[in-house]
Amino acid sequence: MIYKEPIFHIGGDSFLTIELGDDGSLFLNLYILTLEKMIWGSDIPGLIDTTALRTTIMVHYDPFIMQAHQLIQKLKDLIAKGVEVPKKFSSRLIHLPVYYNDPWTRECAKAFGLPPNLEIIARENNISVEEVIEIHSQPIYFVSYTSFMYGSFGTFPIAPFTILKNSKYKTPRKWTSPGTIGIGGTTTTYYSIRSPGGLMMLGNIPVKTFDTEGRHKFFGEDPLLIHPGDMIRFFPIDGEEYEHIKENIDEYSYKIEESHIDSTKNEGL
Amino acid sequence: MIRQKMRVCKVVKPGILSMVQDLGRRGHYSEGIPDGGAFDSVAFKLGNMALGNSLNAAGIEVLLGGVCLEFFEKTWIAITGGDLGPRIDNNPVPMWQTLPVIPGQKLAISGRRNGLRAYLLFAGGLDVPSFMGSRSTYLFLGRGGVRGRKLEKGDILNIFHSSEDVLPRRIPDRLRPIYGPPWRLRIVYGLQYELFTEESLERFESATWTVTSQTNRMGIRLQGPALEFKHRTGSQLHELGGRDLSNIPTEGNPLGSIQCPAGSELIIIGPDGPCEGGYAKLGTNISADFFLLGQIRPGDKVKFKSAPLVEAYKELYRQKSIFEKDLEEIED
Repeated sequence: MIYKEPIFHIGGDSFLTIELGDDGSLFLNLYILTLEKMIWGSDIPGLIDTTALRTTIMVHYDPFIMQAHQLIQKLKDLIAKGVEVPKKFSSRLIHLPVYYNDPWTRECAKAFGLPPNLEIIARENNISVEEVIEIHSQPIYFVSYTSFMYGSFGTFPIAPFTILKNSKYKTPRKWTSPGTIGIGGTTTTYYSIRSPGGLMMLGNIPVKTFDTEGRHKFFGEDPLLIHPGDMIRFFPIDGEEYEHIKENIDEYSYKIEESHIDSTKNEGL
Repeated sequence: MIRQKMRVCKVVKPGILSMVQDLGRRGHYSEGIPDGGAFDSVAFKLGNMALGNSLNAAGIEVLLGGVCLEFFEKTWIAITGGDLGPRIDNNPVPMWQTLPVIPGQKLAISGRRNGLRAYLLFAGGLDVPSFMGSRSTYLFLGRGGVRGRKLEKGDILNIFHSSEDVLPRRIPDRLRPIYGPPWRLRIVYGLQYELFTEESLERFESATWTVTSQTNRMGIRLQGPALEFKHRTGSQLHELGGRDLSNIPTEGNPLGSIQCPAGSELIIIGPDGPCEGGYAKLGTNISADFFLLGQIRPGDKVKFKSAPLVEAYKELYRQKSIFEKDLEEIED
């Protein structure tokens, strides 16, 4: 649900978090992204950045230009004007290749004393590994946030909404191979950089999601492939295709379709 | 001003973790890039101020010491921050002032007396490529500074040659920060503090916390009494966040905010900390105290004191005003 009145949380003298609702619905997400756009389109001074997550927007502001109580008032006034989520929320559908159950992901699981994580998920859902891959690669996913680490994304399935039961690592892994996708609850997350992690690992994406050195011509002004509000479809590839993509990484041709999301269909959590 | 590149020194010994920093980058939180920058930004700025540099001129952040640099050029430097025992050609040298160096001289930093991080600033500032508006090293992504990494033996450092002459100048004692231990940090309650029991918040303020060895630029971990959470009702937030009472739906992590996973430890978000996370936070260190976190060592004792938001702003404005004057003006 979206709150009638947002809740403002003071994050010290330079940050303010706006809590806008309490479910993880697609509509709340679209509402948050719409409001975030409104904030940047407004005349509120002193904004440094905004970080939109599934229920909140954190505003980083310049305390030499604005104080929290002034910022809260301005945000209240802005929200009172009405946050109109477009019925057709414009988006892009990005197709990403995934080598499910790849050797590096299996090796990583083994290093932390676990069988291939896809096997664990298969067992937890009483289905085969192939069926897990089929279920995971079927839906369109909505990109909710990208602030986990540079080039990463957090997504959840929207059409159809599928659920794969899963547990987390009891203690977080010390490392995860770059390119790994993991699942935690309904969220599929991408580890763009070698980092600790606690989600079950499904496979590896060979393509770049960021390029700060301008090696791939696709990345011009914007070094990031994926932004909140985008949609993703994961398609399974095998080891041979994976190697082929890796060898030609800077010539990879991304498949991206201009698209939109029907905001009246409220799926997700 | 004419600016040209000039080799200034060679890294003879890199130490444990020495890297190029400036005052960091802004505005990339939503992309997962934290602000970064010199952890003890006050010491860093005072060093640049003594040299007559821009406050943001890049220098070296030295953790714990073990560093040795050999100079190629006649120039001026300044060393500020924690006292890690700086010496030039084996003679101890004073900190918080400009120092002349000549070709062939060796600067060593080792032998800690207080603090954790020393700052080495160069007249004109270090010349390394800028990444997202800052020369700061961001190790996690491997960008900024010298090839995105810490300093290594044999690295050659360049400076922007400044045509202005540097004078012997020192930072007056009253402007130098006073480091602990003991450490007293002021925090503004907020964020999820309402999820903690009242007794726990009292315990948080009355306890003495101990910094653990799991402490770095991403976060400072502290151990102390267990904190407890209220039982939750109604809201779906709980379902979305996770099973543990300390879990919340993932949200932005303010710099200096204090999270409390499972109620069993505190983690203060540092300059290279994660931009978002799913643990309840009870408050945020006031920005004017944030620099102190860069000098707290594992094993040190820390106490927290709550501060009203107006005090946080007041302290921040007061701190900024120091850097708005010329050093000569202050000495008068």
